[in-house]
Amino acid sequence: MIFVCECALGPFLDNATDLLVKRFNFSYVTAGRLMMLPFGLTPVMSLVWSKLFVGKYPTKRRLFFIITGLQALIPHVILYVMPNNPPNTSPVAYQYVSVIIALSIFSLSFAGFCSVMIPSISLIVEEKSIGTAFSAVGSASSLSQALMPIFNSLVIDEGAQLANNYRNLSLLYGCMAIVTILLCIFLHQSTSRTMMTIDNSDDDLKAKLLISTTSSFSGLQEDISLTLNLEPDEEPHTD
Amino acid sequence: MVLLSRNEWLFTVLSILIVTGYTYTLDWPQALETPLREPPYNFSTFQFNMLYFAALLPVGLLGIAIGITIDRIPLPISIMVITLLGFVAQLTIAMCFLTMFTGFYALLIALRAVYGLTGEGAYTIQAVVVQKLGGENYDVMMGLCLTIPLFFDALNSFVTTTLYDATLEASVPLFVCAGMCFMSVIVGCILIFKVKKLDKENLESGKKQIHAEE
Repeated sequence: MIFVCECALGPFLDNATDLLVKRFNFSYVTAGRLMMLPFGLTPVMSLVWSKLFVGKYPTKRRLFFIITGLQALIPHVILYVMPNNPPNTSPVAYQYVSVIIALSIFSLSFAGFCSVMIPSISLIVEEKSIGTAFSAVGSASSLSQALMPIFNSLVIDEGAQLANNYRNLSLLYGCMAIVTILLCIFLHQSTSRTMMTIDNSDDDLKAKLLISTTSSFSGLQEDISLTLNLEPDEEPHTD
Repeated sequence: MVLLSRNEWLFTVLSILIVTGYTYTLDWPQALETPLREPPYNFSTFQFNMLYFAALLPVGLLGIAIGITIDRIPLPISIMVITLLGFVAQLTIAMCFLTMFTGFYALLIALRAVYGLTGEGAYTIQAVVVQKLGGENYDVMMGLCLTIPLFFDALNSFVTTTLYDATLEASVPLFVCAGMCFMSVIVGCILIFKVKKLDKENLESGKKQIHAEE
């Protein structure tokens, strides 16, 4: 699921500047400035997700996955629906507003991916395997970053009208977002124990994470265990 | 509303900076695309795309092996090996462009593969550190750690092109990239020191708690 979601989100940023220039005739400088929006807004949005949504409703993580998927779809729909500008015509006000809205929703979705979807990995794997789990996530992300540019270039190079080709690019990313939503719905409906763990109560999560906080490095983990093992053997002396 | 405690902020910043070298450096080919396609480099489209393919494909194939290794060996050793290897790989890439010896392209591809794997290792280390120290604010820390490094990716496009325009020498921005990787090495050392210190404090407080209960 992370592979598909990364496909729908990450590589889009690489082509977004060209898309804005070729379809709506934004200048490269303006497109570059607009593209600073997702980079600047995503960390702020990640705080919104983690503090306001997951912080208050920790048992709704799987529902938030679906919302993240929907948010990934909306910007591509907005960009696809907007008509291309004829050559030598400047973008109008509503196009500026639509692009800003699309990029803001994109930031919200990307933040959801980073602060809800990826951290949930730690809920379904044991602490000793956390590195393996996150490296699997990294592998999925890298594969998507390696493969999506190939599909992008196939879409962009297909046909003579470059602006239309870039419009079809939104269709490609929209399809990836739909697949993400379907996977999220499947996950939401799943009743397997592993998947249900994602919606653990906040207290369970805190307990799990606080236990691991006390044993950060392997060298000291044994010391802590030894110290704690002494406890039941120590009988209180009463005179 | 206090977002994070002082310690959590510290570890969040260190976890962000440990991957900064990787995120800043990954996209240098894109920033230098125009000069790389011209003399003396004359990279073809295939050769240019291979710079990315070489860095990303090994991660897709061998990434899990890195994760398993990080799980098996002590974290301080993982941090030092991965950050140092990333720095050496990027420094050698810069040296390749400086010397332009015959057949440097093959070495360049091999070094990009090493660099890609160390970058994945840095992200895995970041996840492990935040998972171990995040506590109840784990989601907040993880969100910040994954989103803020994107800034440095964007920063590279600006800094690398500016440096190339000023010097007309590809190796100069690449040495700056190596400098960013060296910063990750320093941050790795600080991270090891700080986590060990925190562990000792936790151990002491655990002992005190046990004595108090006695």
